[in-house]
Amino acid sequence: MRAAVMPWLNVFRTFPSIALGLLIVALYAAMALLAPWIAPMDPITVHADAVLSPPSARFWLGTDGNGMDLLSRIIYGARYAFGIAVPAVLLSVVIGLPVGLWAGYRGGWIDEALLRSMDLLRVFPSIILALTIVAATGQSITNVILVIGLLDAPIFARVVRAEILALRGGLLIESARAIGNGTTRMLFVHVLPNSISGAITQISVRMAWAIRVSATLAFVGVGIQQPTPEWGAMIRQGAEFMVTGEWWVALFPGLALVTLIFGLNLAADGVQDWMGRRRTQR
Amino acid sequence: MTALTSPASPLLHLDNVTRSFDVGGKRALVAVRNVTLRIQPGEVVGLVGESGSGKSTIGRMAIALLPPTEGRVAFDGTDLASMATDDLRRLRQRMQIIFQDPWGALNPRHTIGRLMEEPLLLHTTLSAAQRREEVIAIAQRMQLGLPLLERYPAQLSGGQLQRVCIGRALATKPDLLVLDEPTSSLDVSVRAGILQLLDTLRRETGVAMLFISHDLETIRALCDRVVVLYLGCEVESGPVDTVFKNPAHPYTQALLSAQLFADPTVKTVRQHLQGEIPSPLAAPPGCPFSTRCPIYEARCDEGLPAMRRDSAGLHAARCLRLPPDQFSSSSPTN
Amino acid sequence: MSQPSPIAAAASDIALDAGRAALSIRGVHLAFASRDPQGAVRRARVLNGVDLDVGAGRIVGLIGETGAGKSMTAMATIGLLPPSAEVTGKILFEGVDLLCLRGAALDKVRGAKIGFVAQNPRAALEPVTRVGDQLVRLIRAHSDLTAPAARQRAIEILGAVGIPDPQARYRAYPHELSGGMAQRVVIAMALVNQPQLVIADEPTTGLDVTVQAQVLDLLRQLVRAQDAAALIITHDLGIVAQYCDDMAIMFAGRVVERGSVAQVFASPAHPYTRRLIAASRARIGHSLASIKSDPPDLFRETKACVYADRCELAAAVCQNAPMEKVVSLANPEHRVLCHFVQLP
Repeated sequence: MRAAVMPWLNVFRTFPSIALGLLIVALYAAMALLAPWIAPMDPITVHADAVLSPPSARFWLGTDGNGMDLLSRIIYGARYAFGIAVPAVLLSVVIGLPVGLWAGYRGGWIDEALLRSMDLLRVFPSIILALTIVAATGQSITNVILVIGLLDAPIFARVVRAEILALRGGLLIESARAIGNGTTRMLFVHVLPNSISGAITQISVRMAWAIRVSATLAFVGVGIQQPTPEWGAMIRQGAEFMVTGEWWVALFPGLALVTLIFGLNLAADGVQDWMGRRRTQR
Repeated sequence: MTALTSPASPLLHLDNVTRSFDVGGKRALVAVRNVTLRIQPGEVVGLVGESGSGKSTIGRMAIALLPPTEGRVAFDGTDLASMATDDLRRLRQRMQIIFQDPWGALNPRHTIGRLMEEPLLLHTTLSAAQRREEVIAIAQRMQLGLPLLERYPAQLSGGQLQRVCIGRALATKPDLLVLDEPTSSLDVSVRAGILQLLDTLRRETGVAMLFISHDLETIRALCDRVVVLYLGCEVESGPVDTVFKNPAHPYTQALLSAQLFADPTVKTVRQHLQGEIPSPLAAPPGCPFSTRCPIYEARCDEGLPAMRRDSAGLHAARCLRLPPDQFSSSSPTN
Repeated sequence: MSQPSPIAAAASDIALDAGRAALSIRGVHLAFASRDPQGAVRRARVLNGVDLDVGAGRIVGLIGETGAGKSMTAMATIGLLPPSAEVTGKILFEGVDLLCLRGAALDKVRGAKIGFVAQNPRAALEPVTRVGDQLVRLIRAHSDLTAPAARQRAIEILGAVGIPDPQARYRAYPHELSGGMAQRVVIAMALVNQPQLVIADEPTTGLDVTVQAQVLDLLRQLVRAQDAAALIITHDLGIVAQYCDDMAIMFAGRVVERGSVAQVFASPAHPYTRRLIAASRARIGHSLASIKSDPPDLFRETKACVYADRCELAAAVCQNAPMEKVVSLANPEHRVLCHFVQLP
């Protein structure tokens, strides 16, 4: 047991960014999982007597414009954050990896199609694109997940493709073919494991992105709406109250959002460094 | 695994093979031009050339990593181009290759043990335990300590890794081994050990070898026959001692004279060649060596000279100015 | 890191007084500190007391394999060590200790008094500047020539190094030149300011065999014409045998044997030298495979002879590092670092 833990402790010591990033993500994940048990109140119960009340002993982070407890809403909001980010990124990976694998290894029309679609996506700011599609197809969580997942898939494809192209310039693939590997085995045993490090880093980055996009969509009024305790929707309501001085309604969800995104990006950064180092220093 | 080849039919036959690469626009890079090469079972043939000679391309065509643009490559009588993918894949256990860069050729994420087990996994029906035993036996023959089997390629030295590659290549007891500059990236004191190992293995297993190198001394030590390449063409071939003692082609002569012996008392008379090797994209129209040849004449531009052989038929060279009493212009094929 | 003992230092001064040597390297130790995967600090001992002389007008071959420290010796001489390098010792050139030079003083020496030919010509040449302009820049940095005069000199030297049509090639970019041509340009840059010492670090790696001979012939010819001294760093004993007057063999950061090429090849005194020579000649060695042949572990701290764990002569006495000894009084420049040489 000790032997399994020690290498990880060393990794954390050399790469504190991974440790911190993962810690933040883990805390939020715990929040999301354990929400019913750790939230002090029900997130959509209206406390008519305490609408827009500032942070106090009763409501640690105050209440919003509907009289709902901010703290509980933030805790449950983590569920929505992960609930959107995880399936969306999963979808991206499931679509993007095989496409990138094929485009990089075989080239041909799939490669061309991939490159053109990447170019197309680059033309539009992705948030505007997401906005348009969700607005057109209906504001549901499923649609938000689908749109984000599809828009991000080419990124995974591209990252894997780039690494495979680099591999093809070297001897590994030739050598594996010479020893008698068929195409399937070659792809899964030799090509994929050696071209996936970029994609692994991207997982964390794209999750941060998915959370941001869904919050933005909610903020703009597309996507998830009140009374669902989604951070973006909460910030939308809170924005109106900033001018009248009820700062907590927007600030706390905003902080929650920023911290989680920061944690995810930090972890991604650290993982990238770690994988780069590990490859040369085994 | 022995094949039923009659003495006359070679194990490997590259028949008038040409290979060109498309380099954009209408240009083509002709890497190999009309090369014919035969290797008999158990024979060690050396392929000598500098950059642009096409030797690496020939090595890859020999084991079907690259198809020829023209001509055919036959292994044990069968045309490689006509084989089904699966049959070709299974044929690979009879022909293997060792590359110049051992780090590049091995999957950095696999342990040495797993790497050496791979050919057995792909081509035999041995159980896991039997494979493990076989890997241990191979490691011992390659003089690799058993603890190394648990390590990763990045943790081994160049010499050790090359032994791993050789062990892997010989695991399925192939009939043909192609070696593409196997010791060029290794230290001098390590080279001798590797070459000794190859020599021993050759004598013990009777495997045929195609040894690609730019180092003439290594070729002389290991090979039975040698083929000299220049800009994708065969310019001379024959038994190794004959070619080295009496080089017929001016390029071979220049190459031999450019060698630097590790002995200050031996001074070779250097033939000074003008200029450098032309780019394969701009190959001369006639004899490829015409731009630098000390005995160039106008008629050397009129097309590729035919191979001329000596009376024994073994030593041949492509030059218009060979002494006609020694080399006749009979039998154009090698 | 101990200093060499006074006896050894005196021995190395006997035959070659510092005045006649173009370059005198004395007792140079070089280490790099880094962290291992576990996070502990460890030191790579790259040079462990290097003693080397380059006689005036002589061509010295510095030979060694991976990890020997030969490139690092060159880097230390021309002051191109990274800031994390820990270096002690002396490198005397024209009466000055190069290890103590910094800034402008060092710049005056480099490029003018000491010329450097790098291993990879493409790495040495600036990719976005024309070749002729790079030469001119170098000429004007160390002389008062006007631009047209410098240009003329550049064209002359391009011709001298055998580049056809130098007027036209002056305007070429490095990537337009072949490997051999690029290396000739690097040689031109090293020699254009008539240095007293030329250091060439593996000048023919990556070049074809026929081109290699041409480049080495050129280097030797120019060095002799300018009456300069040269230090050629290589792993190829053939180059040393055919082009050098003197040689020094390095292993694990020490010079284990040195002397004139004729002497060392005729009677190699150190086991490593003998092994290198045998390996370079007879391609197939017989008992060589069983001897440990990985590069030396530079992190290991040891008082023993650096070659002890792979030497066929190793004995108990080899647990103490040997001192440099003269091989025979007839040739006092032939020195070796081994216990088993009897002082005649």
